[in-house]
Amino acid sequence: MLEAWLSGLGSVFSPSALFLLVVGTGIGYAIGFIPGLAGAFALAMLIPFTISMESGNAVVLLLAAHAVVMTGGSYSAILFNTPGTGANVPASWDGYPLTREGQGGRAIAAAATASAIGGALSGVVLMGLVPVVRAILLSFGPPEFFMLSVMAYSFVASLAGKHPIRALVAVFAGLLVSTIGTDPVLALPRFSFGTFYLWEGIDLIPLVMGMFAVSEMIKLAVSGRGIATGRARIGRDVFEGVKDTFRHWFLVLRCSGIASAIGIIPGLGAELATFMCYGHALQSSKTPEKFGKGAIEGIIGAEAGNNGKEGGSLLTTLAFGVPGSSSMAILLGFFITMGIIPSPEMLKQNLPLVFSMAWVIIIANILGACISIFAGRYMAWLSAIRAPLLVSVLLVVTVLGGVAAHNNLGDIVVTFLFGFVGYMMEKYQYSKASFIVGFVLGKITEKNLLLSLQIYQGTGFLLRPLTMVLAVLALFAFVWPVMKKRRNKPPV
Amino acid sequence: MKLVRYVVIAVLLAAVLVGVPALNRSLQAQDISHFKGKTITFLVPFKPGGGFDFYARLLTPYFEKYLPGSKVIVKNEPAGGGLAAMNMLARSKPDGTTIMIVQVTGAVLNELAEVRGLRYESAKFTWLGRLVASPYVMVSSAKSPFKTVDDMKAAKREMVIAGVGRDFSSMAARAMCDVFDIPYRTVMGYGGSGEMILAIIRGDADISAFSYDGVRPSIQAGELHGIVMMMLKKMDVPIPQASKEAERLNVPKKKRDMLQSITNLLDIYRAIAASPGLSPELARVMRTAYEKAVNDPDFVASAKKSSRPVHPLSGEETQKLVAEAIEGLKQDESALKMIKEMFGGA
Repeated sequence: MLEAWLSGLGSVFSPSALFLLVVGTGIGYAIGFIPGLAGAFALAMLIPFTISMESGNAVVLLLAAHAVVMTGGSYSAILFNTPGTGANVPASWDGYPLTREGQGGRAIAAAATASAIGGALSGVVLMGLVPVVRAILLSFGPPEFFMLSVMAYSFVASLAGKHPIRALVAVFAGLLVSTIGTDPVLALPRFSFGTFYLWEGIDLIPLVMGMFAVSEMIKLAVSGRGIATGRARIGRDVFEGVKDTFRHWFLVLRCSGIASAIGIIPGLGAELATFMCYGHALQSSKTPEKFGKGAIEGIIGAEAGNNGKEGGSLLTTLAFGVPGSSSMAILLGFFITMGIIPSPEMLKQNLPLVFSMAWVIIIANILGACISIFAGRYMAWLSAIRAPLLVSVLLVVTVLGGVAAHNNLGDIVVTFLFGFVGYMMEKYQYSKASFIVGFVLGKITEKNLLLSLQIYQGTGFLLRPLTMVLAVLALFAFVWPVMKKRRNKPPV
Repeated sequence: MKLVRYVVIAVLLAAVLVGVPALNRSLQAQDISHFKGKTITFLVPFKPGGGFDFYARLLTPYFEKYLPGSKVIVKNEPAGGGLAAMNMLARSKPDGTTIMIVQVTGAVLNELAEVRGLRYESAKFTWLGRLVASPYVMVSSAKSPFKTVDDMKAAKREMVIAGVGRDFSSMAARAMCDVFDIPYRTVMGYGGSGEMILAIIRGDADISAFSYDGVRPSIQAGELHGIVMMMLKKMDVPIPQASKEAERLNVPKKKRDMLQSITNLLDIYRAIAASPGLSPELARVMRTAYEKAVNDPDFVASAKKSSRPVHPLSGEETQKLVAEAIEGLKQDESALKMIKEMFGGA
């Protein structure tokens, strides 16, 4: 084991591998930063360049790029309220308010540090769980996935703020939109209005782009002001953000753990991991009222979560060939091309390779954070740019990003349609966050509920021991915020 | 006079002998130059990352090599489960600038089920050649008590089949259960073959069927057990051939015919097609280019390195196989009924 650990480290530190690691990190970061482009695009773009490479080096390049996409995505989420990827949405809820207060540098640094630690820990998890992944994976089935997704809804309650009914309406609207596409069991198109485009359902990326980026631009254009209202103070702020993260080290650790567990389970995705971590940060916070208005813990929890998921996801992909996300599906295809055929046996036989992958994740994450922190000192000034200028540039980038990623005009229609919807929702105080939660979780909940009902031919699956434990946890997650509020009230 | 006649005939003969090949050569040169500066769109009916996408990207440089001057661009068009891409190919101009890697099983079954919005006829495409033939194997978990067809027939309960929904995996498994008179029920909604395999190992479902090349690693790793295999020719694997099992168990001829007409489809699992109505000249040029591309030693080597099998077959033969497979299924009432039940409704 130790030998494999060392040889894995050694192979990453060869000059060519190190060079590719730096290049990959840079490209992944840039693609994450550009709203509308996500990890899958980074990989699809890089794979043609790897054909002539030695397989070890190619793995380094791709994994490094993949590992830092969400670090880059947090940057644009915090500065411009236009999340670079779906999983960066929660970072914008607290990051953007901080930017408006002129604390963008601090928020970016906190996000970057949390991403780095979460990502690095996920590399450690990847190494540590190799012997037990099979047992973990086989003990979770559709009933458990269903319960986990139910648990994730609980934090909508805490996002609701002053308008709980409107938040509920937003969740259900999100759920409804998630049913557009193909019925998971009958495999027949639903609400597709006769177009093949809608058979695949609405894609998360153009939806998020619209709801957040476009609606924000409409708002900026209407208001005519820059993002930061105060003068952006940056220098000292950045290190404040790093310190913030270390002050909340235990939260980072817990969120990385939650994210790793979700990462191992295929099909739950980075978005759910991030929501769960954000929810956990909120529920365990001493000042939950600050969430959504600029709570640094929210950023830290969410960003530790989305990067923290990757080690676990990679482990499942390698052990069983079951990719948890579109990026992982591309990586899986690439691994097979390279002659790395996923199986538990392969893991054991190729330990040095697996360990070198873990090292790439760890080092790339730390590098990614460095980019954020050092660039953050200068780039936070961007948020003081006049609105019309920023709007036009971001709009072009968003549309081009969408076209480049999918080459589909339907995506552009979705982007602008939901841009308008998002603007209206914000105007009338319907929580956009709740809408996204409903949309993302809807598919997972529906699919796993329907699978469970078929497997157990009824509701018997609820009696599985692990399902019951998760059900109790879910119930607790719903009730806890209410209980906490009651307890904090002074006795009458 | 006689001499003059001989001279004239000799001259004419010489002209024919020299001229026809020359004319032929110039025609050929003209056809290949047809692609100079042209962009060929290579449609992939799935998202990036899967097997079809992989093969398309692997083939691209070799198409460019053997159609000199052309630029081949892979375009992923997953909408409608690949139906949108098929429609696009059907509507494309017959000038050789649109080609597609087709999952023939899905294309044909959707066509026979008369899915709404579908605007193509598989037999009318210009087939450039086969890429892969793929036997389908029915598997159970290595720990499952169901190791043979007889085990399943003797079971006191229904077999649970895992599937995606309107997918060939669960359809093949259902067809085999039907042939062998094994009661079953389905669990549909898994996200792909990876999730289905996991479900079988975990015990959520008992069986399903997969392309043999896809599950071979899991069988070799001792996770899955191959029960019976739909294949045209006997292969060097210790898994019984479905048609032989059917003979052994005295399955009625009607059901054996159905098994045969579905198995015929597997012989053209992945193939390359161009627009319908290509001129015979252009079809010949493109088929030749495809044949050279799949037999290029570099292509063969890289496919082998990636453990992706290649079973090239000429365009003419592929065209014939597609037409025959469709005709066979159309004639077979029980197969057609099953296909309409499983793939229809959209």
